[in-house]
Amino acid sequence: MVLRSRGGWWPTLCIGIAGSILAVYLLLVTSNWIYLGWHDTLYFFSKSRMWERFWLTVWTATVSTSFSLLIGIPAGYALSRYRFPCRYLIASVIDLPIVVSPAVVGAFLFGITTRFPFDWISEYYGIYIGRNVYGVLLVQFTVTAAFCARLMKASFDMIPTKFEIVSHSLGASPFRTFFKVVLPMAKNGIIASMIVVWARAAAEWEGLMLFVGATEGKTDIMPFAIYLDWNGGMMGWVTSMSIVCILMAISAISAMKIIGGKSNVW
Amino acid sequence: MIEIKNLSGNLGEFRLHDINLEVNKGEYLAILGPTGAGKTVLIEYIAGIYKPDKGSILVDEEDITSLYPEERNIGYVPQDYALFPNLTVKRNIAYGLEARKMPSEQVDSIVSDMISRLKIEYIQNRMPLNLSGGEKQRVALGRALATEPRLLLLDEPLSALDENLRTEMARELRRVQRDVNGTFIHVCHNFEEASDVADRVAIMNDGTIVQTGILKEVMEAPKNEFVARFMKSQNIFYGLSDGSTIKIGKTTTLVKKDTFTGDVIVAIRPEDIAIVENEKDKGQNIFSGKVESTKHKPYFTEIAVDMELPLIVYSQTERKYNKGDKIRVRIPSEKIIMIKKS
Amino acid sequence: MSGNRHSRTSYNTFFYSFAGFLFLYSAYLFLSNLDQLFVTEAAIKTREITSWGEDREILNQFAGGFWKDPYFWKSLNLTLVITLMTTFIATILGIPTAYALSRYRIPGKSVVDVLFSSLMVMPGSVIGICLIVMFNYGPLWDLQNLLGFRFGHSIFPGMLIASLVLSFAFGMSAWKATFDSVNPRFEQVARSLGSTRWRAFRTVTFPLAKSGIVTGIILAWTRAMAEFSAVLFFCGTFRELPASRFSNFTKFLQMDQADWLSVAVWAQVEFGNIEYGFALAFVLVFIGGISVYVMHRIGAKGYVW
Repeated sequence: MVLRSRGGWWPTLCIGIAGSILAVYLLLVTSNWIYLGWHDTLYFFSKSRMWERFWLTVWTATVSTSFSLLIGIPAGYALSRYRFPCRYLIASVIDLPIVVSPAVVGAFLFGITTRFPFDWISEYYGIYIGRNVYGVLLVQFTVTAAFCARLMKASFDMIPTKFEIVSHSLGASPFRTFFKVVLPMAKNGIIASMIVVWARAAAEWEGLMLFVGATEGKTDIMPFAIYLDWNGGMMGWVTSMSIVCILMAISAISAMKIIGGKSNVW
Repeated sequence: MIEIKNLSGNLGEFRLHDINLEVNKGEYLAILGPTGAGKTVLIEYIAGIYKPDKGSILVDEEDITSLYPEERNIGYVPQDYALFPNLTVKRNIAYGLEARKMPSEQVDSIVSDMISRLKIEYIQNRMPLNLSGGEKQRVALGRALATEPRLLLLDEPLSALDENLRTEMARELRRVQRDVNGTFIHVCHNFEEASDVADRVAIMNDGTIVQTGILKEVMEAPKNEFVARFMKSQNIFYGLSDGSTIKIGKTTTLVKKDTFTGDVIVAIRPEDIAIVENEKDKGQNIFSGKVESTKHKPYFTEIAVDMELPLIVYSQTERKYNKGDKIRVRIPSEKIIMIKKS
Repeated sequence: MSGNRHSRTSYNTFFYSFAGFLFLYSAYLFLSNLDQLFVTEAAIKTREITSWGEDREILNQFAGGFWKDPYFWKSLNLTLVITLMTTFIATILGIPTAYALSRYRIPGKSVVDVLFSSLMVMPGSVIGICLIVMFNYGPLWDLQNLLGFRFGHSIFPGMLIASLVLSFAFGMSAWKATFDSVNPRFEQVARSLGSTRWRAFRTVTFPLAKSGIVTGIILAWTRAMAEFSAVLFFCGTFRELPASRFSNFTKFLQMDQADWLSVAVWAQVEFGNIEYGFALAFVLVFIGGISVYVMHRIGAKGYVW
């Protein structure tokens, strides 16, 4: 019986669709640069206003990422290792801030900062968390902490529990096992996740729009600044800042791929 | 009739250099070699999963090198059988027939014939997940053979089975092959398995085929040191031949007549060495030594003898040897394997 | 040994507490805002001053009386219809793309990888700007002039495109991971038995990938629902437009004078209708919560949104 299959349409279809979609996405990402052109891009890059905002974005993202890591690493470990009742429900609640639109999160944050424990903190400690840099940090933290926990969970899931069991059988305490066995093994995954969390924090702005409002130089991190300038019709600023953000995202992801290798779900 | 000519390919980690192989119709060929030799890669090229960089594959005079797997009509049973988890045993076996758009009555009759031939009626409606290794193997065999391929490729089909099952399953494979009069290429990594099934063997190492021939031939006349070691001729030494004797080391001389003179590799199979019980026996190639260690294996005792030529000898007698005992051994001259160093 | 048991308990408690903190934080964030739905005296007074039109009375009710307002239902309708269409398109295009990326050798695969992963962490405003630049300038703008309608600031295809960008990216990433997890051996064996590649996909790979594909679909839909910036930038709001500006088709689908839900939340809170805005927000949270729960139940293997 002659079997004929010559090529078949399926692979052609798949590759064809994949190719066209990729071309579209590539165009999307480079459109800013195409629009602005080399010369103008360099002009905007030379302005200090650009770099002030860049710096603000970078340091706020770094600070909030650190807080997220602090909470996220242990939380991720708990989610990975423990089986507790209604864990799907609890995991869903924890994931809510990242699944729901950040605008919504911003609105809710706006709601809770006027009450306990925030009003208590501002009264006694004089730190007002709201329309200032602290608000930025809070928004970034809210959006990334759960995300960080999810990523850490994925990293810890990759380390079989048998290593911990062996460590315990050798007499090591659970804490020792965690710091000397589990963490070093998860190191790559943790660093890779950290980079992604940082990128996500630097990209957060919808929450800021609803909660923090704009104070030039203090709270207008890059993505927010893009919105503000766009409202002001400053297309040149807008596109050049977009280019900066795109480059930031791409470099962060590339760094993550190199460090994390195959040890993550991206 | 399968001919592979000058096949070369590079798949990143695995490379094949210039493979030349012929398989006759109705033959059972075993491809032997250590892990990483490229056996699975060769099978994948024959099955059409990858396209080789150079060379050609001919089946019945037809060049199939550029054909896709679905066009080659070559059966393929991978190492873990890859039974489709979402289909029952029956549907698995029927798969190839349905792919050819055969009418369903014909499909059913071929499938039930195959099932009774392999004696798997009792599991025909089960899902592959819960089958034992031997059952999986039979289903995989049935699936591949149902479409009457002109060649069947088996990649280490017995590795997943436990010890006792292996010989039985090997005989089963042999029986089925004779039954359907098919041409089988069977990849394995030890020669005991090959000896159970194969008409001919091809030894592979490092991406090339080192030697082909009947198993007996390969054992008695290995082409190089690698083959000798692989076939478990454990006594391998370097020596110098002068036509009538071989000098090994400082003092040992083996008597062996050969036309070749020069550097040689000597290999002696442990089972060919005789233990001389009688003190008075004299003859060629008798040596004395001390027992270094003994290991009890299922059918014999392995004795390591300490002499200038350290030998591994197999003893099948009841006599117990202890460390330090004196022992005399005789190496029959015709059993000395000489490999010319090229 | 009691010493070990002691340290084990404190160990567990230590880690549980962090997960617990996140849980409580999230719960507090959402639940404590429930009282925003209730109207306060001060709010009524403010609305007297700032608002105008007939809405005033309705808005003074619990949760802004959102369920009585046609704007709410139309917005909900709009968002659901568009996101379902987006998910559908993302699935039709995404599954073959994911399969191609998983199985075939495509030049520059790592570039593609980085590209899509970067999209998932890029700021929404940047994506919105990219869409604007891509469609409102250059050759695509000329194409739109030729066709007679604009892509931007429209429901079809503007909102569709805006929500599709990330919905597709997330879905495709999930589907690729699913196909990666199905051993290619099965397809190879199926082909050796005579199946074409489509048949092998249909009868072997796809059934094995089913749950992953479903998860990807839910993920794509959830992401589309959560889209905000791209829609805001590329489409804006529609509430203020008079009815005449909408096509009959849109009116037929009950999508005129409505907004994308997350944009509506923002708009309402901006206008000062806090109760109404929060009501819309809670609707979104509710919908999001259910899809997350379903995804967890199906067993999404570490998909990270």
